[in-house]
Amino acid sequence: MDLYFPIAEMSINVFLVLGLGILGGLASGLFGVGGGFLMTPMLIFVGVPPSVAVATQANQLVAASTSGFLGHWPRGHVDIKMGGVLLAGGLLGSWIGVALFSWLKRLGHIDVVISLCYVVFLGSLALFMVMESARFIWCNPQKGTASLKTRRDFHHHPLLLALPFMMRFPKSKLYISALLPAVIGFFVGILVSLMGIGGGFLMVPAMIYFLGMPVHMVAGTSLFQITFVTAMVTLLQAFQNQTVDMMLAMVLILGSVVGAQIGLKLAAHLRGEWLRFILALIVLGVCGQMLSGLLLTPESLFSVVSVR
Amino acid sequence: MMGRVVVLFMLWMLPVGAAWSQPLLADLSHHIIAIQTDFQGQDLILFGTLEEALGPDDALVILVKGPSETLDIRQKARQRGLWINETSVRFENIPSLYHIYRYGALASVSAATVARQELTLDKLKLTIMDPENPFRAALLENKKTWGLYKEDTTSIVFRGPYLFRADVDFPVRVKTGQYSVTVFLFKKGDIVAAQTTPLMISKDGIGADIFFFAHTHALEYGVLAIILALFAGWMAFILMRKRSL
Repeated sequence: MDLYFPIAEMSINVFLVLGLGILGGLASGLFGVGGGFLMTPMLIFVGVPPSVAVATQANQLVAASTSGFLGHWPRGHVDIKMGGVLLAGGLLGSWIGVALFSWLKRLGHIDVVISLCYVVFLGSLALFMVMESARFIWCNPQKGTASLKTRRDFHHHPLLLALPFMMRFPKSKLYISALLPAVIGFFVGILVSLMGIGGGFLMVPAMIYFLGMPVHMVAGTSLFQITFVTAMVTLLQAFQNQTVDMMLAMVLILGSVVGAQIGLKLAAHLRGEWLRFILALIVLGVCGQMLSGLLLTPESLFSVVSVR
Repeated sequence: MMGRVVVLFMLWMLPVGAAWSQPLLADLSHHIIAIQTDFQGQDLILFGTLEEALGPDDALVILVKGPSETLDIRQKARQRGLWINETSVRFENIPSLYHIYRYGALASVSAATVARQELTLDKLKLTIMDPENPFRAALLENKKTWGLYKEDTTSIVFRGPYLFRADVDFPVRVKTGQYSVTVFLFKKGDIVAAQTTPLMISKDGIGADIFFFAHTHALEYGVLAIILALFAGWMAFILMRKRSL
């Protein structure tokens, strides 16, 4: 059954879209990530214009991160002050990101930049994860923890302590410069606008390694920031580019709710290190797909873009 | 006596005969196409009659023209190993849809008429006319792939010598707006009759409402999109909590 999506201006099989949502939700239930990194490339692959895919995915992520955040809130695993500073950077980043997006779209380079972002950010992250989990699975697990410890000490580096705007974060038991979380939030905000991902992927390790936040606070706090940043990106994209397809987002959300349920059930039966290994392989696969699109000679050298 | 009856009869016939003596009459089965959420393209039937049967040098041509649009055709080139859009050519005010349905012999029609009336895709007036130009070729190729441009010689079918019909199709990617369907009758290379029928394609139903709302009230649309997503997220959370209890 095909459904006509009014902003994407095309008919897509509704079960295909539901399937994409389920797959994204499955990933979020299994691995505790938003699933945007899977869904945006797949929407583009199905034929949705990249600008609509990225903006609509931001809308879907509002729902995904809201339910995630609500799950963490009652347990008190959210540092609102830290989240607020991350958010301040994130809002600025998303504003600049959406402007950058419009500019690149006009120049005709947006597709390449989206692909490049995926290759660079997800590729390096996936490689790191594969190595880490492979070492954990097949080698001495003690070594893995040791290297983790040295990296967590990074936030004690004297250069970082010399930064201005030192701020106390009682909930995370930290005394660091507010610039650090603001800059992290800023970059993540740009990536949300350009890639249609929540950025929890990059923010979570950054919060652990660069800020030295307690691990149990990281997920809830990042979801707090992601909820607001994705909402901001949705608003900006809808206002500036009219590229948010509400109907597409709703079908995706419906699928991802179902997928997340299945994912959570499955996750209970799988070991954490294996989950991380599988996730890393999936991320590598998405990168490979994007990279081949950049490197291989395209079927047609020409593309047609409608000018409004 | 007999002569007077004939004259009277002819006088009586005259106005009726004049009404019937149009060389070509044609109409479409519908004049409005509504794009709803289940839209997958639509076929219309064009039917018509000729006053005289087509001779060996005669032809019938139907041109379907969509609202105009402006497109950029971009060409990729390899830069530092990556395929990046390099050159771009803008085609302004070109028809978003152009279908040519032909029946009979066009050989007797002069090249000037074919070019003026744009009776072949080769002669379709686009920003670049050079048939060797790769950008023009790419545009035509893309339009043909989506069924937006086509030349067809099988759709017009005659039922007897005077009555004809044609299946005129509108593919899934049609643009909304005003379309025109023109039927030309050629006799020995000259246009002896032409008739144009308008056609409106518009979005309808919830899809149209969403599109309209998104473009006229962009800010409110964004806010609504966020509220709906927040609500959906909240519902998902409640669902998950119930499951885990």
